[in-house]
Amino acid sequence: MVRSNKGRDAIVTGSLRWLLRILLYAWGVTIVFPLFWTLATSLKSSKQFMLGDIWSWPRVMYLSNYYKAWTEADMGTYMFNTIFVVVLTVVLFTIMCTTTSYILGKYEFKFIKFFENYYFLAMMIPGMLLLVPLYFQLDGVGNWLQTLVQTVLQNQDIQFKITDSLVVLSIIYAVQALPTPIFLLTGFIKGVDKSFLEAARIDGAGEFYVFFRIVIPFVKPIVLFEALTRFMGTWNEYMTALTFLETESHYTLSVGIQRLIAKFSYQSDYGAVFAGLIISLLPIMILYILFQKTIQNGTDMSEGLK
Amino acid sequence: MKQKMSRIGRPSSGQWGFMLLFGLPPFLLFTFVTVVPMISSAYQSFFDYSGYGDMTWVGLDNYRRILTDPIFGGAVVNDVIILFFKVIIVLVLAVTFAVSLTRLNFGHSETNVLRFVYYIPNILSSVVIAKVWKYFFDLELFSLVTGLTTPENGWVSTYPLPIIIFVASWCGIGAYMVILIAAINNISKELYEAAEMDGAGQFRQLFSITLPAILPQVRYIAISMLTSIIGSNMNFVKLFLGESMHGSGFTVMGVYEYDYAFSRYELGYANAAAVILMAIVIALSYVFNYVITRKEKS
Repeated sequence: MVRSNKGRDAIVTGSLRWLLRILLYAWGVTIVFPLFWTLATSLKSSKQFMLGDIWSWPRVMYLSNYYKAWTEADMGTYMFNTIFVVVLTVVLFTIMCTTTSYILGKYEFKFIKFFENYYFLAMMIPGMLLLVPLYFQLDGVGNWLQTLVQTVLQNQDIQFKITDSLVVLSIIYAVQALPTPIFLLTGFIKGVDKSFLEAARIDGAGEFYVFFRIVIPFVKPIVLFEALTRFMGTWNEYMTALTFLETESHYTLSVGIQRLIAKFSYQSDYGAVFAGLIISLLPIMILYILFQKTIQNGTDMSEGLK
Repeated sequence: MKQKMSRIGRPSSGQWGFMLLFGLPPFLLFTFVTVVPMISSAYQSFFDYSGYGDMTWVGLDNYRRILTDPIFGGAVVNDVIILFFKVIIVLVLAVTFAVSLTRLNFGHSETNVLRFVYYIPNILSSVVIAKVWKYFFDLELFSLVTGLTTPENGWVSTYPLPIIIFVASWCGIGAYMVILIAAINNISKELYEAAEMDGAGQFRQLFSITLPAILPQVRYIAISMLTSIIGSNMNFVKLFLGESMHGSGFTVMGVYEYDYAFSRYELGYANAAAVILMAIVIALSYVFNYVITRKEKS
């Protein structure tokens, strides 16, 4: 009885295996195909595209689309702004996240529990709902600061808008991202054996030494993962940048690309549109290819604690 | 030695220094950019306020107006429909893919390539994703592939709901699948061996071992989709259907709130909408938790 059951089972499993394999590849195609299509279109002359030949591989490689996107649509400025924001955000974020997690994880004083719960509860706030009130709050503070500076310096010509600043945007990105990574990292730091810390302290090591030389090496992979996640999240962020940045020369890629698209699709120059899209996703693709293992394993790790 | 004893004792001067230097600034900044706006948002929801100038107390008027506004009702319905289908599609596909890639003994390189590809949508920006898919539908490519006739106003404007559901699910599956794969790989191999000895087939193993073991992850995925739904829908609606909700008549809760604040200068009203959204999200996560916990028990 058992054997015959097994035989039938093997046939069912075998055909199911092929069915699932087809499904897996079909899903893979829905991901790869749009990307290849984007790449192909970015290399195609707009003429070939407009003649209805929208899906074949380009007959002639039109690298001039890339040149056009880069020079005529300020891609250089957007790229520079994005890199500036991303680097500043990742640096600020990594410092704040690691130090706070160290304090929450290894300082076992009574009042620390309050701060741990504070960050933990804040994890529940949907960030998108803060966008509107945060903008008006910062704008109010900015106006107040402007009046203050104008009165102190007796000069009405000094005008600025703090919401329209890449530094302010980076600080917001770094700070708003804190709760979940802090929660995760605190868990890992709690697991670091206390005797290492005590031994160093008895040898006269300062707090910063203990933090940087003893605790950080233990949690390096997870810190790297969080920094990478922040890198990609910041590179891709759209709504906050759209709301805060007003001057065109301050635009990041995700906002600037909209302008590029509006400009070139108005001229029906889809080659340049897609070249712009490829330029904006290329750095993130390279990062993903370089750090694929860290990113995917980190996704597992961060799940482990929940 | 003293330090070793003082688990709940007093911080040393070095520890005070570290806390003041590194702990305090992030705490103050964090309070300033998340907690203060949240409280001021709740406070302003009782006022008629444009964001600048005078505030007039109107009590619960904003709330009354929102709850009787059919556009808001429509937005809530759209969000809930997207959430519902997205959760089902993402969970079914992510579980299917994760089980296939772990339990069916595909080749090592095959698995790695698929894992690499599936994760790609998670790293791309929503701007690029939305634009590529928008062009895919609107530049006749979709009609070419399927042989269907393009509707008069284009696919995206005519069928925003199914398209947003599809693209939002498309983006989500990779990372969730990776989480599920890790969970399945953590299940003890002995359990499967014992089941095999007892004559349990693949299906029996799937329903008696694999699925119960990954239920906590499934719950986590569902909840994380729920808490991110407002932002995610807002992103896609803005990117697919353009700036204003009046353009196509299709809107979601996030866009509704945003437009009232920035296009109509009714900040008090927008804040009241935000408070209601918050309440809806919290209520839904309770329902989710309740349903899944009951399933876990049975």
